Amino acid sequence: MDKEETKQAFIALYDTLSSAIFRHCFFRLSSRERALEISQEAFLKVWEYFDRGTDIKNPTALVYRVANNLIIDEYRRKKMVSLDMMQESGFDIEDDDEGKIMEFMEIDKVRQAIAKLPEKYRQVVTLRFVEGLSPSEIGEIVKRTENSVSVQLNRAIKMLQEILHI
Amino acid sequence: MINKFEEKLYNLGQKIGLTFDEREAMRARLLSKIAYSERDTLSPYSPMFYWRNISLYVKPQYVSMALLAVLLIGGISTAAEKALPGQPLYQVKTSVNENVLGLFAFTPQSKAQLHTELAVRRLEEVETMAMAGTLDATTTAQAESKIDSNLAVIKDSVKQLETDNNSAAAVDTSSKAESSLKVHEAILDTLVDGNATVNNAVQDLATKVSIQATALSLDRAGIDSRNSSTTLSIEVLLSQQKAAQDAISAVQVSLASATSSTATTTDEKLGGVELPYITPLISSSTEATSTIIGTTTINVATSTYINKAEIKLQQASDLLSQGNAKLDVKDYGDSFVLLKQAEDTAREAGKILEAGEKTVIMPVDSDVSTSIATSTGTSSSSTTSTVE
Repeated sequence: MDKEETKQAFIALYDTLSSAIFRHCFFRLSSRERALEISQEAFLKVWEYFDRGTDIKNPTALVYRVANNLIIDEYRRKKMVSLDMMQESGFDIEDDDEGKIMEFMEIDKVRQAIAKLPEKYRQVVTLRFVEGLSPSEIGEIVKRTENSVSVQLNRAIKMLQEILHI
Repeated sequence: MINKFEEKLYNLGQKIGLTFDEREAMRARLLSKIAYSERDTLSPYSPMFYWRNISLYVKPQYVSMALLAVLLIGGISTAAEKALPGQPLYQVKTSVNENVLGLFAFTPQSKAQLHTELAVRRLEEVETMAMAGTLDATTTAQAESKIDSNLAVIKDSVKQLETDNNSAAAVDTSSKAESSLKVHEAILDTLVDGNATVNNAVQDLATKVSIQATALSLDRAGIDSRNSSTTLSIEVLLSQQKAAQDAISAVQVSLASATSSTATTTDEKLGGVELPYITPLISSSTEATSTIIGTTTINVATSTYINKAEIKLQQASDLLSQGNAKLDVKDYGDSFVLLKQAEDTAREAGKILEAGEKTVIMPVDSDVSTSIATSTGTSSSSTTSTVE
């Protein structure tokens, strides 16, 4: 692949995954702004792989893996915060729409519940239930077998239901 | 999905995503990074390496002759498109290529589109140079000046479109310019945050771009309002007006407390410095014929600061008046810019006063022997007598 083709391939990857990666970061972090920064950093790091001419078999999995590593680094620095603090950091809710408010409260509840899961379950839960990826696709990202991912998902969903009292 | 709970989680999750602006801003930053990394990889064994750095090997006058020769051959304009300020082909890019583009912009809409593109080019040049660490304050100031000219043409074109009863085109044109500015505002902010070597000029440019984007947004809202029966919400404009008024009031209070005096008249001069803002605020107990200050006076250094602050404050007040006048005639974009300038100028006046606050106070009475205290915060111990 020449330089121009590499660049086009990377931009196409960005166009396909930008929202998904942001969503993944958002559900695992405390701040929309930080989710934006981590998403951008993940794509910048992936570009370095593209630029070096590295043979990338599964670019989607690579982007998710890089984002996950950055998220883990972020955990080490910060704690999770509530919706109020998210609003203070710029997470805006159009408070003239009660439906939207309820929606965001539910999203925040889910986000906090995911944060209470053990680390090994957080990523698979977000990939499966927020992104809708299959266990085999998740396996590619987290470098585990499909069976192992399925077992983790079952346990994770039970824990999530307990946390959310459903 | 296995069950309703998982389906609900999925549906909730899909409601979160990037906005159009966020996606475009991130895309633009990635493209800047890619462009920068492509520039970096030019090998010193490549002929283009020497062409790009030709000024290192050939005297400037010979570079110009060589450029003219290449122009005759052709293809120079394509190469010039990627030139940055300071490079030999940059003059060709701005003086030739961009002027040629201008020849085909006949209508107000095409002129506005052209100048939006030109403003974006200047911003991209600043961003690329900032990432390469080759940006300086002069280049940024020149880019800012060119962008100001571009924005002036855009605003005139938008006004012309509205005058020609083409408000839809006016709104569309203004909206596109605003979107372009916002994307680059986001990029410039990133450069300021992430790179320690980027100077204050980039931060000022980012602020200016933000203000202009808001002004365009208000202009657009003004056009909508004038062409429909809907009421325009100008809260952001009123908020800025209040901010400017508050900033000016705060400095007026600070000026009043910058010195204290027991004897003043409205036209009284303190050490040769007139203080029209202070004197009405200080209670006077003196005779009308008294000409000298009482117990506490201002030394030369402090009066200099106060004088400068007064001048700045007057400028701020003038800008506030101009902004209010524009608001009255519903020129919302210009009003916002002027009110923002009024606030910034008032804050500068405040900073000037802060800088002068540590200076020592000394008597100004010419009949009293004076002594200068040089330590910070101490006042003169000499007494002053009133002379009639």
